[in-house]
Amino acid sequence: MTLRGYIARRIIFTIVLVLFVIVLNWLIFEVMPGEQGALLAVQGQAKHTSAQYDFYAAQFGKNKPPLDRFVEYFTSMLTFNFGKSFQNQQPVVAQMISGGKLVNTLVLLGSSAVLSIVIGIFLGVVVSYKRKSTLDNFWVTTALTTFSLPTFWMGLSFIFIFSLSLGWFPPGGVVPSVWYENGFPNIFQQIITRAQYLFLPVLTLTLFQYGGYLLLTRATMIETLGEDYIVTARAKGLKTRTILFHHAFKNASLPIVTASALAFGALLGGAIITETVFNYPGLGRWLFDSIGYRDFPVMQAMFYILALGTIIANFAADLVYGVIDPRIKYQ
Amino acid sequence: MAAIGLVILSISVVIAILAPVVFPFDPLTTQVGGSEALPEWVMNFPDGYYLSKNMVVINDPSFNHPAALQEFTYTQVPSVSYSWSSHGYNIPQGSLQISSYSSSPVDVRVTKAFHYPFHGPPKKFLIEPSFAVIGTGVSPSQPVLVRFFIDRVGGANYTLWTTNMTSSGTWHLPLNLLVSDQPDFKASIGIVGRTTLGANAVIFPTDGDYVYGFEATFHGQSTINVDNLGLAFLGTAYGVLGTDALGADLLAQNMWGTRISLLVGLVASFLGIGIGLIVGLIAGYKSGLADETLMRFTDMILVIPVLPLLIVLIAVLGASIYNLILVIGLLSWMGFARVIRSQVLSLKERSFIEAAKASGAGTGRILTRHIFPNIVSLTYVNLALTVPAAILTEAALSFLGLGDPTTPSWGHILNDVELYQAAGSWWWVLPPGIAIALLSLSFVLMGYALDEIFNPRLRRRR
Repeated sequence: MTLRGYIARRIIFTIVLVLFVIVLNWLIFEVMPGEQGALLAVQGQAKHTSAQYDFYAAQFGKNKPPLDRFVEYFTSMLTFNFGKSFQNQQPVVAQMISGGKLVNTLVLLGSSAVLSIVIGIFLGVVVSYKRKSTLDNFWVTTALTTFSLPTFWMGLSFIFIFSLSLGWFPPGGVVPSVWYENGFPNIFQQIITRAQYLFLPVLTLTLFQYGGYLLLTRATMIETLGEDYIVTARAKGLKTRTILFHHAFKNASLPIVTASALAFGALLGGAIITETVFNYPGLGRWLFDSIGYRDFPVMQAMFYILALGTIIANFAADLVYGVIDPRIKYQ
Repeated sequence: MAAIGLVILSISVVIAILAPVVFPFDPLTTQVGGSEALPEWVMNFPDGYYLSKNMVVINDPSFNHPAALQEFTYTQVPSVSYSWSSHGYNIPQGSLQISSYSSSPVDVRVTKAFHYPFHGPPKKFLIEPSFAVIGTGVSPSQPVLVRFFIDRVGGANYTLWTTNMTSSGTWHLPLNLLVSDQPDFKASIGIVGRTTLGANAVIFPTDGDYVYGFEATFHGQSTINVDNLGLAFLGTAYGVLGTDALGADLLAQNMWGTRISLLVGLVASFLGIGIGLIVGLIAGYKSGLADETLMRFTDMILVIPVLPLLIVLIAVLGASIYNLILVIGLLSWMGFARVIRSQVLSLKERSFIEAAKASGAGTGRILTRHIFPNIVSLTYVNLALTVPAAILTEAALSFLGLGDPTTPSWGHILNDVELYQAAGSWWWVLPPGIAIALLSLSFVLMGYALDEIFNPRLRRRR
């Protein structure tokens, strides 16, 4: 199988996956009884005057034959038309993009992912070399501990320690609310203040992830370091650093790439919880809020977006894997 | 390391079994102390100097039994009699009856003296309902004035409630009674102008002797019945882990939470492992179309983000323990199915399977007799990793408010913290997380130890 063939297979798989997610999304919300669900959604407003009842009835009302409804729903999903939020009657897509929710979540995810990958891999490589030493035991234990600690508890404890007791960071939000009234300051001040608001959420989410990368890197590195070519490299007199980071890590990096892609789904879960704890206005928090308001368009849209994100991350990882793994390229 | 895990797990199981025995009440709704009370052991530290504990001053405030009368001290006047009457305000009935047989004004006091031993005020000192008075033979020309008070010996006197009765037959009850020294209580009832106490009045600032009771002034032959003459303190400290915003015992909630975590964690994992085992066996043993479709399906579900899907499913299906177990179990079998499948694939090609087939063994026999024993070890290791994941997932869903609202679980406790904005109450925030971590850690440690035993790749190369 050549690289081209591999990519083609992955593309087909991704398309099937997206279709599967769309159908699944529709099926889940079919469980809600149509008429009752619609009435719940409008909560006492007159049926014939309410735009949201129309939207809901169009999607979930059982008065139309299911096939029509499904086709309407399907096209709306493909064109990213998610309708209006029940809560505030604003279009979902507008709130996501210009409301800044998408950007906020991406910033949170991006910074914590980069930090945890860099820290986790670096530490994993270092401790794999010094196996069974104090350093190794210490880092493995801390990795296992943060792995077992629930994210929301870490977040709440950080709020308690660093925000309420020490006062170093604000307890939640993304920017101070006074900025909305008095205007946003210049870009440098913005960066500093935004970094302050971001610090605790990013710290929480990084701690949540780095343990996995550390343990995985350590395991694969230990396996690789047992190979013969490592002994050869040593015999050649190469420096430890070169052996570790140049030879061994390259071969150990393959499982890490796959793992990071698979971990994206878990990362989204951690992001939802972190955003809820820190009142951080991103997509995860929005999904959580929409449950309380029975805001079905938002719930459906959020699940779709989050699933799409994971699918894209997986596809990207497959591409990278296809390029890195010579077994695929040179077959 | 595995030994530590085993110890933690055994302790957790013991706690889970004993929880309903030690705390045989609903830990979420039963009020045992003042709201957001700190743990009692904090009183040993300088920070806890001003804390107070629960205390009961009057044992039978609603006069359920005639013996209740012996608690008080009475002004002995020949024309006034004190007795117990079965006519009371609450059910079961009972009240203190005072009758004056003199046509001239008589002033009597009924009091109880006590010592308040704590260095700081209580959370609440009057527990509702408080005070109820009814008159017989009372009229505008023969009114009875009743004044309820607390006097600090050598300090200020506080009138809690005064009522001037001019009619008979109806119970007089106080409105806007001050029940606490705490600033938030006073602010909530708008103290100035509505009670006789000043805005800065603190009745129990520190330890001291007090006299509690009432004073009745009769202006003729009449009788009054007094009920709900109670005084009890809900302290600012309670128990081993304190209380939450409703005054419910946090130690009870945390111990009851062990049951839910173990139940959901174990059952959901078993469900996941069961499904994974079946799928992996079928896919691995019967290669071809079955394998291909099952693995594609597994891959597809693996890519979907778990928590958003769980959130949406629970939001639609409803939050109950069974839904939680079902939904968590249905989304945890995929990794294990893959592992089983690869192991079955490698086992299938081994010669002993070929030999078994040659001697005429059917599929079922091969699966149960030959393949299954060789993958059982994988099950143990995987169990040790999926159980903490299930426990954490249940806690996360409960924290987001999607758990069963009537069952106490560790995630539920932290959900309450978020609800009541109490991130500063460390005794409320810290224990559930530590408990979740310890229980998850115990399974992870046991799993890691098992992994080192069973997984040859991790052994040091000789």
